[in-house]
Order: sequence, then structure tokens, then C-alpha cells
Amino acid sequence: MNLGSASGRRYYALPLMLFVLPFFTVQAQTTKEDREKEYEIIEVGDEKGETVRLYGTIKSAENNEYLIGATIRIKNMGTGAITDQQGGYSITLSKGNVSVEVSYAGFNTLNINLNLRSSTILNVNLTSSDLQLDEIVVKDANSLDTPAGRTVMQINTIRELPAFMGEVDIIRSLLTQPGVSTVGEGASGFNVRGGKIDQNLVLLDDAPVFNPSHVFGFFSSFSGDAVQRLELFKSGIPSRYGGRASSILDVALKEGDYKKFRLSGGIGLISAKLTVEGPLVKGKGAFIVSGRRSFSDYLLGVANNQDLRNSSASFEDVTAKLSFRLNDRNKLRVSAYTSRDDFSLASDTSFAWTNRLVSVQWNSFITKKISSQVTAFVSEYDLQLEGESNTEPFTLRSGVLNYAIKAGFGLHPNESLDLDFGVDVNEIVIEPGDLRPTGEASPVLPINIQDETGRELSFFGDSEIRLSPRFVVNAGLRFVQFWNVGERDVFVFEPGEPRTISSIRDTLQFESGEVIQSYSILEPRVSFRLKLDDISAIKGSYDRLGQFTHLISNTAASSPIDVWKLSNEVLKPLVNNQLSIGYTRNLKNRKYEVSVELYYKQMDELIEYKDGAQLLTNEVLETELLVGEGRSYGSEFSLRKTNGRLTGWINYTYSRSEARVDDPVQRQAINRGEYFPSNFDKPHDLSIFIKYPLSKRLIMSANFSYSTGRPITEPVTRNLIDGFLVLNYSDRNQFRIPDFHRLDVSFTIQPPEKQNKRFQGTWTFGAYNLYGRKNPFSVFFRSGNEFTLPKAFRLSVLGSIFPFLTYNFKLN
Amino acid sequence: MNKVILCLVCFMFSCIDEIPFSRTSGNLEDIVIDGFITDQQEPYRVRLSRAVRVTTLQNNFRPVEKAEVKIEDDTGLVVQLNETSPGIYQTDTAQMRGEVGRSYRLNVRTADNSTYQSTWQKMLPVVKMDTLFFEVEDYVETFTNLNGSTVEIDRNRLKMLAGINTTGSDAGFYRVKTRQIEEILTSTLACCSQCWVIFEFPDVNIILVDGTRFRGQQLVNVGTVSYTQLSEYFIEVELLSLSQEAFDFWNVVKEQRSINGSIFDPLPSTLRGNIEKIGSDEVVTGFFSASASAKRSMIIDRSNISPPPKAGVTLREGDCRAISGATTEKPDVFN
Repeated sequence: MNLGSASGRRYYALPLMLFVLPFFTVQAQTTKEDREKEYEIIEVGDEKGETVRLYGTIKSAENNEYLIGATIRIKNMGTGAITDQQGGYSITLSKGNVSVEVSYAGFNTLNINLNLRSSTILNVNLTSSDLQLDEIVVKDANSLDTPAGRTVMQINTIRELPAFMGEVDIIRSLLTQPGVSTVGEGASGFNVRGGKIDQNLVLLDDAPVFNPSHVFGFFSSFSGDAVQRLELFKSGIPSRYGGRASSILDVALKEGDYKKFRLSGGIGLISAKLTVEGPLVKGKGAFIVSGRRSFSDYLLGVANNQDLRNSSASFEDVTAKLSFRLNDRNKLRVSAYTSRDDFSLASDTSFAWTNRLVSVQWNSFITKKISSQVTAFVSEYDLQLEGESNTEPFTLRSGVLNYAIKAGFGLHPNESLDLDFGVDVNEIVIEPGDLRPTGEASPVLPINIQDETGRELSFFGDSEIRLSPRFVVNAGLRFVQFWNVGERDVFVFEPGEPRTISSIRDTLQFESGEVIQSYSILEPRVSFRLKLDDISAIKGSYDRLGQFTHLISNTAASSPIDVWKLSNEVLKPLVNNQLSIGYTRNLKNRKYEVSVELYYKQMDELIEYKDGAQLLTNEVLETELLVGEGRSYGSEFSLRKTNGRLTGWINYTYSRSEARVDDPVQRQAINRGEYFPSNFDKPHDLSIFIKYPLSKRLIMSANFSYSTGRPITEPVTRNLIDGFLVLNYSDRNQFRIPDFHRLDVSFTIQPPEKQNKRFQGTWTFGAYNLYGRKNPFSVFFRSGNEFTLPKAFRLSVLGSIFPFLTYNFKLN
Repeated sequence: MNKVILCLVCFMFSCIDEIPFSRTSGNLEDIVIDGFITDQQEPYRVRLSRAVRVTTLQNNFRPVEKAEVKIEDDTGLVVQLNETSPGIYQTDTAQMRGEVGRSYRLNVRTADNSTYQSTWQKMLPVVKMDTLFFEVEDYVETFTNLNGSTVEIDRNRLKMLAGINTTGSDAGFYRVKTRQIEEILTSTLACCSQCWVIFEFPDVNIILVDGTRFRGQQLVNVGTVSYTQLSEYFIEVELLSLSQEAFDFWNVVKEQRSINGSIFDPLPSTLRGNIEKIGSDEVVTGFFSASASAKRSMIIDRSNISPPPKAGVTLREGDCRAISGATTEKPDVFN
């Protein structure tokens, strides 16, 4: 290694910081402050009737952060609520004695007995829990009070899942949940209920992240230390969300500690991370900065390919959040995130991609019954591809820029009704590709694909109507107006003719801001929760979602060079209609929770690619695309054990995802216009997770996954064309690769109880793919020659056991 | 672009194993129609055959015999091709000569009265090939010996490069084909120690050039010549103009042949050509192309190259006629 090089210095910087920062932090640490009281009770109403409202907020006693998704359970009435985006909740109850349990993963559960005589505000400050070895509670399940189609995962649960190379992985953790799958190991993104990966809106503190993957798709680009929780909406999607057809993944970043400086970090086989947080402006504000960087090309070093051993890969991400309590009613948060990946191959190509975003949230309680939230963000994704060959050096750059402002208001007119409404203004600019020769001698011709600009204006309104303590209806409506605007040249194809270069009849020039095409979509969203008794509930929903931004890909897994595309004069917006119904039941005094959900989705204007499509730097991409429809349906079963020494879940999904393309304009059908399985159609999907404390300090967790092999296209005959033996392939996706299964285990050694509590170190070790199964990512074929038969090969992306070891520490 | 390199990425942690493959489905009646016309004074050939199972070792592509095969041009001239050997149909050189700017179409009627027709293919001009030369390239040959261990030998070979000038408004799409003849010298004292082998299928890879993406002279790797002998070697490089439709077809064939299972591989697909069965939506495999041609050739004297063969010269003994495809008749190009 060249120690004098810039890259060499980078490798040494992080360990140095790890040693220096603790000293800095200890000196800056504030004195210990008294704990705030755990809860406050304020009687506010004077109701004559039998029903009253119990409402308030749930916060973290450590940092005053509102806890989103905390559970409030009225134990003697079998009802409850989950806190909303602002940590608030509201429950309609009968007057009398109630036993309230407030819980949140990673915090001590609080029990309060109240005699409700009138509507009452109950504000709770939960204290974070030390590990409870004999009773670890999983609070992420679909409880009776969680709306249909929603999965909430706390970061503590995500940490417990054994992860590839020990890297706590936000996105991969979702794959253990019903209805969420991936096309294969190492693939970027995830598929929700049969939707493509671009149909998921990934939000980080309300700003979209366009490529949430490190090292192509092996790791998520969010560091676990910066994330508080994530919430996945598969159905029952509130109308404040829009823009993607299948799901919303809302990732909330942690807030810094308002009282004390804290330092935490960790080191694993490939990366190190460090988080520092603390108060600002005399406790009125807080900051948190969390960074992670790979420090080792360990993975490449063990590759069995000489080129890869000579290659380099690195990634880094930094998250920062500032929070200010302006006064009792106003709060301001500023979040920033950046991630970068560099990959350079020994031969002649290097990739670099970055996500950058900043979002600002201003929350205000205007009156007791009116609140507001204003959010603005800028989010950017950039890809740079360098071809460094001697004969044809080039640089290809592409990117997406998205910025928006959203204002939402919450009204709580009475105990049985909550209203949310607002407006969302959004602009997105896509730079599909700018190819330039590198240097004067390069023969590469420059290509600059025209930028596309889209503007969206959305109005949304949600209502939560509590018709009775047992029956809650959410009804919402979102109206979206989309404009595809100039400056851009628009190719006019011969009407009725397939879109080809030769069928372009005219080119229209549109000025900057001039409307090229507009669409409007009305998106009703309705869901309900009906408690049949204290232990069971039925839930259902209808969702309609439109999508104007598409990721065009013709590969099995999405790659960084896939092309983003807006709905335009040719491609209409994708519209998804989904019906979902579910049943949840608690068994054995809430020790077990069982649920089943059924869904059916119909997708119109689904974009598919032509056989043999050429997508990269294609100036008229529409000539390579076909339009069809999709459908997916399935049933999701979940059994969770939430109490006791052994906890965990068994999630099983049976689902199908299919597409049909019979494009009359293109005069081209795929598989003769019949439904065919999508690339990620995996009917059976099973995930089993258990966690068991072997001793007071040693905790074991294990994860088993099984799924049907994904569909592939296989050769059925072979031909001789101009001297070349050519395999002739079947209809699209008519065969399947062998099934997938994998077992991962992880052991965590907690610090001894006697250790100084200001410093806590935790070791985690384990193995990913314990029995080293060579799970095929794909099966491919070589045509052979006149003397040999075609051969089939199995590619296993992670085809052996991967042990891992990580050390994490906290300094309080 | 550089997809092959991108494909390597997934091999970081990966392994590849051969697995059993015994697919026996597939329609063996699928017809393959493959033909061309050029601007050269030569017979234009169309081949009609049926597919074979992927599990068939012998490539007995059943010829489609006794078909009526015609090429027509946009002036109304129609020429019928003669079946010169089973499934191979050729024009008479005097009957038709392709011209740049003209459009051509193939019509086929098989003995079972099925009719097939290609789209019109306009013959586009071809650009100049300025240079043809070679560079000595080192490489490592890896093979498994009898006791199962892997052996690596440092070798070198001749990398053939053609300079194609794509400057100008007529820059388009091209395919490169080569014709190769190797002189064979053996050490026998009896008859015969000098032969020539004309390679029937000299091209290992499909070589395509997208002239719309480059300016000026582009150096195209048109193949390699072995450097284990010191005899003469003839190579002729032919550059053929293609329509975009033909380029896309060959590009799909090329991609499908280079699939290596990477997670970023383009997904394989049914191969569509420019020929359709009249009155049916049956997919017909193959392509009928019209190409202008530019050729450049050279004879390489391998005894006069520096550096010498890295792994030495492979000695050949005995009657050279025993070598497959060898002839003692000296080809004209060596005179």
C-alpha cells in the first residue's frame, strides 16, 4: 500500500478518530440531570356522556424525542392505539377505571392505572431499557391496533437479525417480513406484494432516496446507528404519501440527545462506524452525526477472480440531524444524508454513485386541536461511469434531482374524529445520460440524452373516524396533477405504427417549463379495523396509487446504470389498485399473535421492455419499451411470539406476480399476450426468526429463509445461424431456478453487569449461510459447439458460509 | 457498454457450478431462415433448416428441402435461388448483383406450402477500413491436466486490429467477418510437408461495430491468430454494413452467447428476426440482410516476428494431409 496516497490516508483516518473522539466527548459531557417524571395526567373535559377521550404524546425520557409507533394498550378493555408521526395518540373509552400499558421496543414498559372521569391528556416519557434477559418483547408485530398492511420495525429488532458480514441492514431486514421479497441475494432493492423495486418509495425523514444500496446491492446504504425505526406501508397507505404504486418505506432518523453527549460506534470485518450526539443551545436543541465507512477490500481480496483481486470497492454514508425546540409549540428538524460508493475494476471501468439529501421539518401545535407539519427537501442521485480503456476512454454521467415542499395540517375536532390534510408540490429532473469522450484522442462520440422534468401538485386529505371503541375507519383521498414539461424535443411517431427510429415523423420543440403532457389521478384510500372482541380484529383496505417516475431495467437485478424515466407523451402513469383484508388474533394472553392477510393488486400501464432491448444511452428509449398490465395476489401468514424467554416469528407468504403484454401500438406481444410470471414471482416464501438468551450475557438469534426459485427463461432448441450455434429460448420466464434456503445465526455477548455503565461494549459473531448452501441466483446456459452439448451453470452469489464478527460500543 | 465488465462485479463472492440439464421440450418444426445479399459479385446464399433439441449432440440441422426461395428488389426484379445442396439455396452470380441504396426482400415457400417473407432491407454503404495490423499479446493459458490439477502456461498470440474510419454522415452499423487460411508445415521427409487449412468457421465471436457512437478511426479487435507455428497465415477481414434492425438482431445473438449468469446480465429472450410467416404469428428465427462489403487482407509471416513465441514452437510431424481440413493445393492468396 502506498501510505502517501490519498486513499491510504483515508484508511488511517477512521481508526484515529475512534481513539481521539472519546477523549473529546468525555470532556464535553454535561453533568447528570434529574430524570423527568415518567408521565403527566391532565383532565381536560367535562363530558356528560359515557365516553371520553384519552390522548397525549409518548416521548423518550432520554432525549425528548417523540416515539412514533409506540403502543398504548388498555389492558382491561382490549383496546389501544399506536402513536402517529408526531408521537401522538387518541383512544375513545368508557368512563371508569382503566389499566394503561405503554410500550416501545428498547424502552421500559410503563403501567398506569387511571380513573377516567373526563377526557384526559396522558403524556408519557419512557425510559430506555437495559436488556431484559428473561423477557424480551418484540413489539413490531401487527397488533390489533396496527392498521392493515403495515409493518413497523424498530432498530433494536433489526439489530437482532443475523446480517451478511455483520452489517446491520435496514432494507434486508424487511425481507423477513411477509409480502416482501427480492429477486436474489446481492440484488438491489426489494419487491412488495409483486411490485417492481421502483414501485417502492423509500423515504428518509420524508425525503426520497433513489438508490438505497451499497456495493450494488449487498448492503443497505443506511447505517443502523442513525435510524430510529422504519415503517413499511404495503396497503392502507395514508393519502399523505404518494408517487409510487406499491409501497412506502418510511425511515425515521434518530434525534440527538437533548441532555447528554453520547458516543457510540462499532467495527466489523469491512466497515467502521461512529455516532456522536448531544445537546445544543442549552438543551433546546440536539444534534446527531453518524458516519460509516468501509475500510477494507476484504471481500475482493478473497475473490477467486484475478481481476477482482486487483479491484477496489469502498462505500461511506453520513447522516446528520439537528433538532430544535423553538418553544412549547414549535419544533424544527433538519436532516441531511449522503452516501457514496466507488467501485473500480482492475481492467478499465469504475463506477461511483452518490445519494445526497437535505430535509427540513417544522412541526407546530397551533392550538390543542390543530397541528401542522411543513416539510421541504432536496434529494439528488448521481452516477458516474468511467471507461478508462486506452482505445475508447469515456465518462458517462446520469442523475436524478428531486425537490419538494409539503404542508400538512392535523385537526382533532372531537374524540371520534381526526383529520389530516395538506398540499404537496414536487419537481423532479432526470438526467438520463451524458456520455463524453475522455481526452482529445478518444473516438467516442458525445451523447447527451435530453433531461426530463416532471412537476406534481397533490392535495391530500385523511380522516380517522372512530365509530366506536372497536371500529375505526380511515378514509382518504389524494388528487395528483402531473405535468411533464420542457425544455425538451419530443419525437412524434407515425400514428398507429410501432415506435421505431424510422417511424419518427416529426420533432416538436418545447420551451423550458412548457407543458408537454399532463395527467391527473384521483386516489381514494379506505381502510378499517374492527375489533371482534378483546383478542381479535378484522382489517381491510382499498388503495389506489399512481406512479409517474419509473426505473427501466432489463436485467435480473437492478443495476446502478438502470435508467430513470418519467411518464410522458408516450408512457402513461402506472396505476395500481389494491384490495386487502386481514384477520389478527392474540392467543394465550397475548403471548402469541397470529395474523393472515389476503390481497389482490391490478396494475395498469405497466412498463416492460422488448426482447433484446438496448437501454443505456438510448436517445429514444420509448422505442425499446412495451406497455402492459400486471396483477399480483397472495396471502400472508404471520405467527409471532412476543413474550417469554424465546421470542420470534414465523412468516409465510404465498403469492403470485404476473404481467401481460400485448401492446397494440408496438404490435408486439410477450408470450403471445398471455400472463407470464414476473422475474421476482416466488410463490412460497418463508421466514423463521428466533431469539433466545442462552445466559445472562449471551443471546442467540437465528434466521431461516426459504423461497421458491425465481422464474427464468431457458433454451428449448438450438439453431445454426450464419455459422454460429445459437440457443433458442422459451417464452419469457417459463422455468424456475432451484429453491432458495439459508440459515443464519448470530450470538451477542453483552457487557458484564459490573462493568462501568458509562462504557458498554458488545461483541456479535455468527455466520451467514451457516450450512453453506450454494443458492442459485441464476441458471445460465452456454451454447456449446458442434462437438459439445449446451451446458447449464448455476451462479451462486453468496455460495458459501460467511462468518462475521463485530464489536459495538456505547459511551454515555 | 462495457456490460461484460459490469457482469464481473457479481463474481465477488460467487461461484459457478455446472448442473445437469436435460430439457427435451421445444418445437423441432421451428424453421430457421438465414440469408444475405451483398454488393459483391458472388452467389448469395440462403439456408433453410429446422431446430434441434438442446440435448442433441450431433448438430443434424434438418435441411428444409425443395423450397421455392426468391430474392426481389425494389425495381421489381425477382430472382429464384437454386438448391445447391440440401437446404442451401444460391443465386447464380450473373442473375443479380446487390447495389447500395437498393432494397431487397426474401420470399420463401416451403414444400408444405407455408410462406415466409422478410422485411425490406435497404443496402447501406460501408465505410473504409484504413488499416489491418497485429500486435503480439501475452496471455495465460489455463487447463486441467490428467491428475486434475490446474496448469498455467504463459503464451503469446497475435491480436488482429482493423482501423475503421467512421467519420462522416453515413456512419452506421457494421459486422466484421474474417476468412482465415493457415499454412501447415510438418517435418516429414516423405509426402507431404506443406498444406493449407481453410477454416470454415474462423470467427469465435460475433464482432459488431456501432459507427454512430464513434468518430474518426476506431481500432476494432477482429480476432486472434495463434503463434505456436512460424508458417504463413492469411487473414481477410470483411466489413459488412447492416441496417439498425440487423445490428439489433446480431447484438441480441451476441449478448445471448456471452451470458455468464451475472445478476446484471440482460435476460435471455426469444430471438426475433426480420422474417415472418404469412398468416401466422409464429416466431421465425433468422435474418435476411443486405450488406455492402469492404475487404482488407494480409499474409502474416510468423517466422519474422519479434518477440518469438513465448511457449516455443509446437512441432508437427507426419503427413500434413492428415490434419482435418488440410489441402496440398496452394490457395491463390499465397501466390
